Amino acid sequence: MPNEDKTSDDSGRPQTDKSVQSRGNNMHNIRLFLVLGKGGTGKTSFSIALALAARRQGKQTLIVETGEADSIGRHFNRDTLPASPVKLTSRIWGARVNPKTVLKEYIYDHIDFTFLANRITRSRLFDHLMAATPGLKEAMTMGQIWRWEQEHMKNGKPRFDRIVVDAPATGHGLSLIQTPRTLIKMLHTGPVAREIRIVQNLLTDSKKTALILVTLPEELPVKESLETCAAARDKLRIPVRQLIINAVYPDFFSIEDKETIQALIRDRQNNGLSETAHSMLESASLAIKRCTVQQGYINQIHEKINLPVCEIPFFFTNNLSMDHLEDMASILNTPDSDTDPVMDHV
Amino acid sequence: MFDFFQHKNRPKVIVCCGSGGVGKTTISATIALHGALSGLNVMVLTIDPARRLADSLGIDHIGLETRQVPVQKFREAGLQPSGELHTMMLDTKRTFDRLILRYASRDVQKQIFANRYYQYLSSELAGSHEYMAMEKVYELYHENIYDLIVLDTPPSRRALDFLDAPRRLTNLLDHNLFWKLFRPYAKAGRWGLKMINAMASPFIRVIGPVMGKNVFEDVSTFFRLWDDVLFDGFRQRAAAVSDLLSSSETTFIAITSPMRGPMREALMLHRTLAENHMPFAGFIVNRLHPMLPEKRPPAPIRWPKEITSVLGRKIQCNFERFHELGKSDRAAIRELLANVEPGVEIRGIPCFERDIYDVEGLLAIREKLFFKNCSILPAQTRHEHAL
Repeated sequence: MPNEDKTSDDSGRPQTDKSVQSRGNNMHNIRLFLVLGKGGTGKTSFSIALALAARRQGKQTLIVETGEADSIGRHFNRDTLPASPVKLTSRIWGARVNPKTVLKEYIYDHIDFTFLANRITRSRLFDHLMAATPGLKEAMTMGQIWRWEQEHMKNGKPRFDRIVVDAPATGHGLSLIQTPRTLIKMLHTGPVAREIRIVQNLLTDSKKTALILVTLPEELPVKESLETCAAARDKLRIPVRQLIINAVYPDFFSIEDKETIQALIRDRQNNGLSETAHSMLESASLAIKRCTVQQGYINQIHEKINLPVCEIPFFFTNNLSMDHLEDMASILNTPDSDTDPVMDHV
Repeated sequence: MFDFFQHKNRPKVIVCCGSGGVGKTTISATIALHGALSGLNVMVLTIDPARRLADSLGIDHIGLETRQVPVQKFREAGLQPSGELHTMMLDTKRTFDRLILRYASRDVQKQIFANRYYQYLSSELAGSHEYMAMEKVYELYHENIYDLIVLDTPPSRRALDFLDAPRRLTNLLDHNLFWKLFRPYAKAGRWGLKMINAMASPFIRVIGPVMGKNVFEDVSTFFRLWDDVLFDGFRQRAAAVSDLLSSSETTFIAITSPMRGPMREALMLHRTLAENHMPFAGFIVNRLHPMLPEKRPPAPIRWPKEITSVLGRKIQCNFERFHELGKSDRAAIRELLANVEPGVEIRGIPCFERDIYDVEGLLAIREKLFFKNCSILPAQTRHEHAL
């Protein structure tokens, strides 16, 4: 496949050019964010932070949960999200796509005889059809997202200014976004093919849609990100717009600091420091080492991917609270500032 | 402590489950290494190993063929294993193909391999990866070459998928329901496509145009072939695979990180296994942060002169963050303890300063898993748990 896109560079030559798109601020008017990433990289937290960031700009955002995932509700003290948008908090809505419900609605829309539609949707076979037909679930999911994008209020304004799709992990996420393309090839004509084309037009419209990839500065996530970037560009033809590196250890010890700390640790026997002081130095040393390892992976990303990159700091907790997510939103809104929300007081 | 290999009736299959990103592959490799060092002939089946881990094990061209980790690699790390360590990458499509080769005549094989629905089913359909992973384990188990098979399960958001998916797949391939659905198309395949409309049930007549006819043709052809030749063989095989997984030859391990999501998945896995009377070896909580004393240090610390006041504050602040992190880990473990019955094995693996990608790193994890007494829990909690 010919590849005119210069973002690929197998020579490994650094092509970092942050001025290309000053870190995502050209995405102000994007309607649809598709958030991709390996399992455990923090897609869901990022999706919520994106909605919080949009809220500060006065936007109404719908967060869409897809596939098997079920964790957005918990962040807002709720159970599983319903299939139609529900208000989670001020200006933030949530919904979980249920492909079966969507297909049912679709059948009722397309079949004039209600008794026939009833017979179909109540049949046991319906479930099996759902599970067995290639791409059916994915097509229904993408169709539903498109319908939400199209929804307008009586005053003509869109119901949602922004839609954030928390896509399934790994390959499933890619196949979800690829479905319309595959189906168009397969079906060619007919009512469904026509509708899928409209969905595909939305996905490929770079003024309206942006693909975001979330990763961690670790070996496997970085490896997978490089593969996903290539697949998005070559297979989906929807290039990744921005790369989010999540959970980055803050680098606040200077080179001199590091040397001083290492020297004191080496001199443990003679420096007469208390146990507590030592465990504090060990913690500092751990932070420094993690930071160095992570920086290696971050450099690797910059060498191999020419994309705007946004780093999100590690928040030193296992369970991100709404406050953490608000901090994350601040970083997304002002990505160029080097603030460390946790360390502000130092 | 995990002491699988001490027992006379040690498991022959160990299935490592957990949600994505918790370190399943590394832990699977460690368990396999421990088996080899305990004198067993071990196979570890993995999906997508870290390249560096593969490289350092001397299996750089990791592939679908069996590879033995060269003895040299062990010697370099100062080890003399009395057993052997083999690795293999799982390939869903190839495993599925082998099933077809086993049960179908040559003529039917060709038709099935050429069928577009088969291509989808065997590589992309949700559940296929998980099912074929089990199928491969079954195949290896019956070859009877290895003393132990360690399975690193396919990455999925939910740890439970591994248990659910095969059931979904076998349901899907279930004889009666499918035959009902696709009979008209299948018959048409035999009698000519002209018959489709005449034969089609209202279901197909309505859904067909919406979904596209060629999809249905592919599906029906596949099921006709499947039905004629494969079904009974497949069903028996699926039942045998399922039996192996519930037998005392197998055990499951739930791997998690201290984060809330993976923890919930691990607990759900444990519960589901218990409900189905399936064997469970315990939890491994990976990537724990250093457990700092629960009490905050009396401030201020008197630093020597080379630590400036700014650096002192940085060190203090960094320490407080790790302190919070430790607290957060502890809370996660307490919650795990509160949700499982006493006596269930829980092992903690610390977050190492560097990435684990070599034999030495695996040995460090092995130490925590199989030897050192677990120091992850605050003493009091551990005591309660022991009671």
